[in-house]
Amino acid sequence: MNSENKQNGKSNNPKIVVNPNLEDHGNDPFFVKKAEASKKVIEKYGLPKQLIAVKK
Amino acid sequence: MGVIASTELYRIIFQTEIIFQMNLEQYSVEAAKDFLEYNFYSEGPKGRIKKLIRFTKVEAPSFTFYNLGFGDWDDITKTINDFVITNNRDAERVLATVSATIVDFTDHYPNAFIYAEGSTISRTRRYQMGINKYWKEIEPVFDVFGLTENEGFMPFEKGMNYLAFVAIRKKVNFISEKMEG
Repeated sequence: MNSENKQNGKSNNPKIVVNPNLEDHGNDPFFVKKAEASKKVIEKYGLPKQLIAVKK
Repeated sequence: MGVIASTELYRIIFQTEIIFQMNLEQYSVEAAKDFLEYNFYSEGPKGRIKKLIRFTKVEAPSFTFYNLGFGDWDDITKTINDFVITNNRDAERVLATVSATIVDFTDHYPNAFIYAEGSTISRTRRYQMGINKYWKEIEPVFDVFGLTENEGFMPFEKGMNYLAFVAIRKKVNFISEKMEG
């Protein structure tokens, strides 16, 4: 799946400001466990057929 | 090239329009440079509470999606918690802010599937009520699907109860209609 970051480096929303030094919690157990749980759900039920059709 | 520029411009205008149409006040947000993580502060009677939002990339066997994780940052324990009831009397504003980060994230990852589920049934229900309330504004921009135990993921319908949600940004083929209209 192509879900590339367009990387223009800024937000279109004036209330959202990029902080290059924002702490990264990508490896935080909280988010890791949530992601693992979501994977189990998606593997169990699959993606919506309509959604796959939309992607094509 | 001009067409692309116009399309992009319209997408930006339309995003702002979504927020305005929803008429929701949102908090100021900080974004990571890769737009995978956001944070903001909830402010209310319980004080100033840091909220973290993370779009975690998940590799499934045949596709990739992003899990939307959301919780309160505890500066003492240095942990994230999504079971705490903040009770800061700003639920609508918090929901509007999280919604704004979803729009922003999908500006940068327009093809991403997003999976979202509340930490409790009542929180999932709250997300559902938010989608219900602003469906008129959400529906032109996102394809949203709700999960039911028996049917799996189905197109979102107002009034139904769901266990989780999947959303993807719609392709911008509505632009010509909107611009001509």
